[in-house]
Amino acid sequence: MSDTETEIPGSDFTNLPVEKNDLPTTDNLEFEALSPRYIRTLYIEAVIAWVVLGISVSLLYFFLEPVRAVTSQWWFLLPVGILIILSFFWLRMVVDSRGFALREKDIHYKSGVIWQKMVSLPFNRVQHVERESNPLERIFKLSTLKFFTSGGSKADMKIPALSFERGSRLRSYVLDKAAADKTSEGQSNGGS
Amino acid sequence: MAAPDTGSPDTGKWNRLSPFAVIHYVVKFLGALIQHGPQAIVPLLALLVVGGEQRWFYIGLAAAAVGALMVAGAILSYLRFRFRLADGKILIQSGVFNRKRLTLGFDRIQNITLMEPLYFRLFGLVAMDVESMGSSKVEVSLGGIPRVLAEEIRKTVLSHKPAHTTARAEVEGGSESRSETTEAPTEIIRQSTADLVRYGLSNNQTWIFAAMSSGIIVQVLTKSEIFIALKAAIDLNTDNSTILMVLFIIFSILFTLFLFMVASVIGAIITNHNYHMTYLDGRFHRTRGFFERQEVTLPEGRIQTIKIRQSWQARLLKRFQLHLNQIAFCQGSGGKHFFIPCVTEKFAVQFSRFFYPDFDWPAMVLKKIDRMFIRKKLLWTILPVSALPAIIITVVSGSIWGLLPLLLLPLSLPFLALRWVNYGYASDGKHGLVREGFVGHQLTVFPFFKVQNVVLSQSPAQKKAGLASLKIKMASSTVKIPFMPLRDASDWRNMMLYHVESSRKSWM
Repeated sequence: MSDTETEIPGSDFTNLPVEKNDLPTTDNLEFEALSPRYIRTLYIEAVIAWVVLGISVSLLYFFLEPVRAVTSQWWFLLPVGILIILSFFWLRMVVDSRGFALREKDIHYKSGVIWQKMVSLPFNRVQHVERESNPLERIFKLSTLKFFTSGGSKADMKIPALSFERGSRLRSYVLDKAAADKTSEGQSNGGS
Repeated sequence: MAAPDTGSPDTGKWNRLSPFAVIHYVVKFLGALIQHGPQAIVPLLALLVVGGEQRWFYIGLAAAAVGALMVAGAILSYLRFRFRLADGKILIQSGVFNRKRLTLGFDRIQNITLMEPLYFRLFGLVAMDVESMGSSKVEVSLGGIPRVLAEEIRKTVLSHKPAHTTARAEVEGGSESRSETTEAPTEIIRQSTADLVRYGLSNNQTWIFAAMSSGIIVQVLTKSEIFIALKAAIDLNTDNSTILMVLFIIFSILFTLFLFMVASVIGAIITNHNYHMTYLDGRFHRTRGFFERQEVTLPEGRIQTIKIRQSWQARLLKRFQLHLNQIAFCQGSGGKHFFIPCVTEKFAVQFSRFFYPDFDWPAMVLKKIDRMFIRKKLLWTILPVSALPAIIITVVSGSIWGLLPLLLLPLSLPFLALRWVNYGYASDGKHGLVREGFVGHQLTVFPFFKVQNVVLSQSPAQKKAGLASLKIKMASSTVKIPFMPLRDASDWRNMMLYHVESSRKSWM
């Protein structure tokens, strides 16, 4: 497939060679934060996880002598306590590290506290968008948007913790953009 | 039932396959049986062991029963199969017990394959496979329709949409040979048998299989009469016996390799006999096969990346393999294989120029990735897989030999170094070129406007060193460039997004 830089007569569309530095850059994007309620769902999940872990350890505590010997020591309980407290700070950092940015023609999602990554997804490559909420998210009226492009069956971008209203707005915005692009693509194909 | 008439495919009536399709079903079933052979043969073997006097009778009976079931199943499948074409869609009704209805829109078709097995050639029939694309996999298989009808269907299906794949016509607008009305296809390549032999020889899998089975062959050979005779002969003059034994084992390994080479060459010739590829009106057309002629038609727009591969064996023969990667459903599979075996470097370059006329990648200087790649791979991949078993074995056995797996660390170093050396990337601002490999290597060439999405990631160490890893997702596969300078990664991302968003051409 060639994509020579040509000007299409009778159209304001040009595609002249661009210098690298003239390209719109993705380096200084303004990211929007996720819902403030997100941290609460994560806290609840963490509490549930710690409680489940605590219950299983206490069961072992009653049945196994060695477990009882270890878990009742201060040098065991203190680090565990610190770990539990730190895990909640960690979640705060996780939430702060995540965010998405919308531009005219693409959407970006960054995540990761230590290993940071950013997914960039042009609207005109979106095949479909799924909106889902797990029970906890439903309680907090939050939803997760999953964006799919062609090739592969996994979601290419997942944006968690969008309020119902914001989620559906974002979804229809992206789908509108994707559809608009498809028709313009079709027209230019038909015309050529 | 008579075979459908060879008129227009879109008759609005439900068509049947030719009755000879029954043969096709039986053969397909036999093929499946051979593929999953071991499990299917176990009961027969059990019968052979416990059957006693009349075991052959029972085995015959069992075989006859399976055969009868197979034929009955094939006939039923044939009777229950209907297809028709309407409003730009292929409709299928099939299934013996569970009726299945399937609709496949022409615009979702990725490629069409016509297969002409030996037993169909006499009757002028072909089997037709239609592969779809999109988020779910659908494949339509018409097992036995007249060739004329199949070609008619193919024409209808592929010319359904105003082809958005005529970019080439614009580029080479000056040359009349490629205007839309051209009837004569452009020849891309015709492979000689010599090249197929080379392809068979350079098949990497042959070596793997040979290596795996040489142990068995050595065992068999050491129990063979030749070996016993040899041993007897050696016993007469004792001194050189160990050397001879070693020689014998080396010989057996070489012999195994030789056998596999021959098999691989024969296989390559059978599947790729008369390999011929042409191009017409934005579509590639490939025919190949000895017993079963196979014709695939693939619109060029469906091709996402071109991969130019060279295994180390092919390197010795100075040949390459050209893969045209289509839209895939699960990453890694790369869709149905569409490749040109055994081409020269000149051809590979010419072909990519045909495909990407303004991308002169052979002239490009590849940039290296950072050396940190080696260190990190050693630390995060090799160390865990070697240290974990080492610790476990040492603790369990209490022997110092348990640390042996740690040897993997120094041993893997040269391979990691090779991988690092081979990694390279380059771009002209519109296309990307990525090279990777150990001894052999693979070049991936792709236009930026066909990219689906980009992921840029950084570990803390990468961040400190100003590096980043880039994952470029194409509809066919994912291209990765690890440990490249952040500046380059960011530039690539900007350029890709720019081209994806500004290009008016369809990526498929």
